[in-house]
Amino acid sequence: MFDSLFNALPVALQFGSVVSLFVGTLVGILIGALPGLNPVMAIALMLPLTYGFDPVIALGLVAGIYNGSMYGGAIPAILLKIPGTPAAIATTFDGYPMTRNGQGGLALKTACWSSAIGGIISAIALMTLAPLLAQVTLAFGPTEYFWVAVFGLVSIAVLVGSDISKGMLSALLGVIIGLVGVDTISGAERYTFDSLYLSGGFDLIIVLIGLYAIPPVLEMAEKSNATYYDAGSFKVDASGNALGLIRQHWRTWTRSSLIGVSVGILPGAGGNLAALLSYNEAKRKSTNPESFGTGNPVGVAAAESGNSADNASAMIPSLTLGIPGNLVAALVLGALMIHGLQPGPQLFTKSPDVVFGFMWQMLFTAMLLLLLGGMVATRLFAQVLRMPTALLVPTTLVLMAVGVYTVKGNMTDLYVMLAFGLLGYLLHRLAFPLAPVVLGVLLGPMAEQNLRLAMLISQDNWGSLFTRPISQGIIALLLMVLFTQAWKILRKGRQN
Amino acid sequence: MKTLQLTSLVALSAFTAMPVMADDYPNRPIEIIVPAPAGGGTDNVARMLNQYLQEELGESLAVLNVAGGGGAIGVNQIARAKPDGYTLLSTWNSPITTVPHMQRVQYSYETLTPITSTSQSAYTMCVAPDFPAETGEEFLAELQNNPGQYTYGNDGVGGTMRLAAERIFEAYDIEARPIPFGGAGETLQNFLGGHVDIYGGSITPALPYVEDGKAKCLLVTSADDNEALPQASGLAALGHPELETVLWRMMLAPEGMDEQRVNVIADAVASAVEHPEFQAFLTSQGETLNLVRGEELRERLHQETVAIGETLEKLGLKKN
Amino acid sequence: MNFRDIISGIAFLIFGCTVVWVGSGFDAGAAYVPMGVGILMCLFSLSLIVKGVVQTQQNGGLSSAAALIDHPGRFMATVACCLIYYLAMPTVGFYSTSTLFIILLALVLGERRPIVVLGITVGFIILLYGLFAMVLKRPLPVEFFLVS
Repeated sequence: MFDSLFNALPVALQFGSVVSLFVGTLVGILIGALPGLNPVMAIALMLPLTYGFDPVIALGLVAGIYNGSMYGGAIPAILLKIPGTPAAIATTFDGYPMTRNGQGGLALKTACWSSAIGGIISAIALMTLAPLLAQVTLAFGPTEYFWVAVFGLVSIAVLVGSDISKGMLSALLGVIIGLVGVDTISGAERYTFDSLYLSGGFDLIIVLIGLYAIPPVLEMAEKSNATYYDAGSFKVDASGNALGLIRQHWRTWTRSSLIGVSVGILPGAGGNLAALLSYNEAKRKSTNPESFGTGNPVGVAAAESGNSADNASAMIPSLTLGIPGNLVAALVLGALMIHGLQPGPQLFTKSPDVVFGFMWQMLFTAMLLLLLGGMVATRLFAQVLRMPTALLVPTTLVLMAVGVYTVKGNMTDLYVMLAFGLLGYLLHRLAFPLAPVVLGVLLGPMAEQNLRLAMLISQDNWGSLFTRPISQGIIALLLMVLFTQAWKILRKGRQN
Repeated sequence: MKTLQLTSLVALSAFTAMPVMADDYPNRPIEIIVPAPAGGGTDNVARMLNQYLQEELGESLAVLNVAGGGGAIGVNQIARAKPDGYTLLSTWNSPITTVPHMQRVQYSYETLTPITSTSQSAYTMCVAPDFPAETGEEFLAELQNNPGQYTYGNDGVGGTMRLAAERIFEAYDIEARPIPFGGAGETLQNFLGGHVDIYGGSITPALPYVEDGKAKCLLVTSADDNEALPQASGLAALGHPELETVLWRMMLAPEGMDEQRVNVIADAVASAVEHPEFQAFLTSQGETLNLVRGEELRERLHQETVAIGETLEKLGLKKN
Repeated sequence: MNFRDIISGIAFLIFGCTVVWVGSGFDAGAAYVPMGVGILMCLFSLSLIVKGVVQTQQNGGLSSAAALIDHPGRFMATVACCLIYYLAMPTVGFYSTSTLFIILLALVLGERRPIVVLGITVGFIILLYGLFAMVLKRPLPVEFFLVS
């Protein structure tokens, strides 16, 4: 097995592949940095361009965009509080406060290093675990998926924000938004009010852009045109040297990367969940948890290494089983099949050069972030931000419009995005956390569908939800999160 | 200065695009709506075909994946689009012939403009290696003898796979429990993990596991046997060729598209599928070419819609 | 802040009840989860209301929160411009409408230097054109002067 891994190294290092790695990473960073353009869309848009290429070059581009965009999403998250990608939500928590404290450069450098480290660890996990982990993933049936989704939802609702009631209400609101549309199991329409648009349900990307990108732009528009962004604060300052960063963050990086890798292996959950879980873990482990959310670099390190560590590991179930771990993995799968490569165990024996070459490419593009992420991307992006806000507002709104329109080519989506934007603005002003809403949209339907599949399979035997060992493990984790949180609140109550 | 240049640029491009006549079609990129998610079977075949179609048409084709509602969302969108030939639909049969029986939709095979069908393939049913049956006949007998025992994963309510299975099960008086998954990928994972007893879905995803001995496929839903699955029986071999239900793909356009333009596309598809690489791709996907054009295609859609309507009525699944 | 919590709690309570009420009409299997989610939403909104009431009594009903909208004029103008932009896009075309939208909103938000406005607008539109029309070849609403 490892022979084929090293035999594929020269393939990944051939001239065309290296060029595609550079181009892909740069394009990925820029696309990730533009709010509204997310990696899924970027890769979907790039795929047709790769048909003419050799699969190795095509996959090199894909690997670059994938890793590049995961870091790119952090740039506007840190500088503008607009996550460029869904996975950068957790990066805004401390990244933006750092910018406000005049540490934007340090935040970007931390994000760059964290993304690279997370990506490297993830690629190594992909190389070593891919063949071994097939069996574990298969043991996950509807029951296990149900518990994973519930775990993700409850832990986010409870851990994000200050008020549990508000977190839960946000999450539940998201679940209801996710439930709108045709029910996949019975075929019945729910909460569609006879509207054909609603019968299709809400697209996650559109809800996300609306909730996350519009409120900050509206807030920007409300401020007077006199507030220019100070381009000076975007310089990568010397205070964060590499050795210092490594010394400060290696624990966080290791922990978050492990979380990211584990989340990536589970199909369905994406970089956003990995980032939020890593962030919460870092906050929980910290000696100074109150500093999180006010500009603690550890928060940025945790979020960015977590979401990047999700990337390559999401390819593990895709490449071994042909079952994508997330949307990007599904697209990579599509790219493989278009080049006539059938995913599955055979892929490793029939086309080892391509599959192991792709693993190397994931590793190299993660390393390239250190080279391209710091210097080039940040400076390019800082130029964009010299714009007066009166122009930044309309140009960002145009980007969102074009981003949403190209998802499905439907004008109604633009109005829906704006409506979610106003809702997000209101919720934000009323101090409801927005991350649980988005995760509710994603995980709510997943939990429901798998619960009902489990019931169909077991013929309505509710006990079957609790008998399988993996389910019990996840339930134990869930209870642990709930009890620690309850204990914290009790202790706080007694102190008051 | 910049604005002046831009204006003249725009004016120039407007001028070159001036002689707008039907024979000029297409003169700008065409949007192809695929009513399924990116990376799935329908999407792959559509994108592969597009690659050769673009060469024939000399214009780029952009795929828009509008998934949801069993494909109805994407077809609804095309039904409302301008019939200028710059928005086309690349779909499989179920959103057109099955879904309208179960959901409210804004289209019908009667109004959409048929362009051409492209290819077709059968579905298969597979079981674990230790399942007590080695042939299609034994498989059906085992299901008959154990009513309500076995679960089969399928592609959901209104999916063609479920319909194909129910038609066979009804004829054999079999009671098996359908478990509706999101698609063949999800079904396969649950089948391999032992969460459902029978895999029901397209042939391609199952092939590697047949070679590995992790699955044995005993039935295909076409009348003929399938070369890729020697152990599986076709329905003709079982004596029921009339139960055939296959998945087939086609290109459609909104109502009222100019006939000359329809022919431009249909001709281009006819020569695009001649590419040996495309044919090799189809073979690897277990699909066969099948080109039916214009009104003949509408007739095929009509017949299938009526037949499926009757089946669904009998099964008690029909809603509209 | 707490007074707002009471109001938003009541809004969520009404929303949760509506979800349960509409959900009660679904088929058995399709109804469980929506009903459950609606009921949970009612419970958590009640807890939010109770907490808000308790805090209001402690604070003597003082509302110390910042305004819900900082600058209603700019806010409404931006939203209105967006609506006009979306309405015009399908008929006028993507690049034309976007150009006009950027110039209009920039003027509304107080940027009056013609060179800055035009320069950035034109540069940005050319960039978009290069990316979407030339590199990615993505169809966007067609310009009115190019419709065939």
